[in-house]
Amino acid sequence: MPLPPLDPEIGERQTLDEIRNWYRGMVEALVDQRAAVMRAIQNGTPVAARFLGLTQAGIDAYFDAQRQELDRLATLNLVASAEASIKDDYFHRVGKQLKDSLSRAYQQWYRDLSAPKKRRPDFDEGGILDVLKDAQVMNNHIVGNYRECLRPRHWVGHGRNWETPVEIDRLDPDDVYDRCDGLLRAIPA
Amino acid sequence: MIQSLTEIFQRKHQQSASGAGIDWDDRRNKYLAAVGDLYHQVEALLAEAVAQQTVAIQQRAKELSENHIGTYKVDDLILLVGDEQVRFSPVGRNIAGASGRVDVLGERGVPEVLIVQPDGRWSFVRSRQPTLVVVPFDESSLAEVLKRVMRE
Repeated sequence: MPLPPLDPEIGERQTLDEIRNWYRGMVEALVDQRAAVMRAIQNGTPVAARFLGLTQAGIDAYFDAQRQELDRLATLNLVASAEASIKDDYFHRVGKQLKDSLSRAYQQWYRDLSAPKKRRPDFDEGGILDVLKDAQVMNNHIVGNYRECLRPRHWVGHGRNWETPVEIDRLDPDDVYDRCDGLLRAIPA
Repeated sequence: MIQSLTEIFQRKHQQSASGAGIDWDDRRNKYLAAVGDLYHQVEALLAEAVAQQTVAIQQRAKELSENHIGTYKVDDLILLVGDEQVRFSPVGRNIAGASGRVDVLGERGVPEVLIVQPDGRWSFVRSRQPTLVVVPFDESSLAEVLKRVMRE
């Protein structure tokens, strides 16, 4: 089934800050729930079925796994949000025929794309990010820092059916936020 | 820095005051008594098989360490069945939703979990998700568990 055309006006876009606020709220909820279960063990009060019979070490393992999963989903959301913002900016520069160097680089690249790629251009290798990097409008390490987040984002977003990328446990969501935010802020107005 | 650490620990101690007054030794002793009761039930259920020498039962001491309770001795109960063994292994008193836990371990698969219910009865936790299934410990449930943990 072909993907629908990109349209930020009717999408449900999330900003990086919205995602980070959601993430922090979820972390607080996990911390509170873990504390409540630990208190229940101490006080001998009932727990939700999922915790019945677990030791304290088992509960630690459960919440470690929940936190890891939350971190991975937050990373996916952050990187995807930044990707959407970069694509919005790309289409804006191409559609409005802006005259700055980045816009001209995008427009030149756009002209040579096939019709399907004009609607849904590649993003990473051979795509918008390469044009952004080659346009020399920001330090290359800013694009490189963001690119390191793409492997974990693809791994989570495409079903985790290949070897776990090393970046997944090296980058926490706060780090991913900084890399995404750094890139978006570096894009010239 | 030392003052700051002292304040942190005092605040945390006050926050956890709900645990103050718990007699941890009493909890440990009740758990050990419940484990002893479980072992008596197992021995009673297997008495005929033991008399027929198709099963032998041994106990082997080990140590458990738990928060607040500290380190204490408890016995594993071991069933020797042919060239296999099944071990009833106490896991601890500090268990979510229960007053203690013993795992049943054989040569196959995941340990089966036995918990002490608030009313003092032992039950197997067969599943937690998507539906909680707790089965009382008796001859029938023990037979099912032994089939699951032992080789085909």
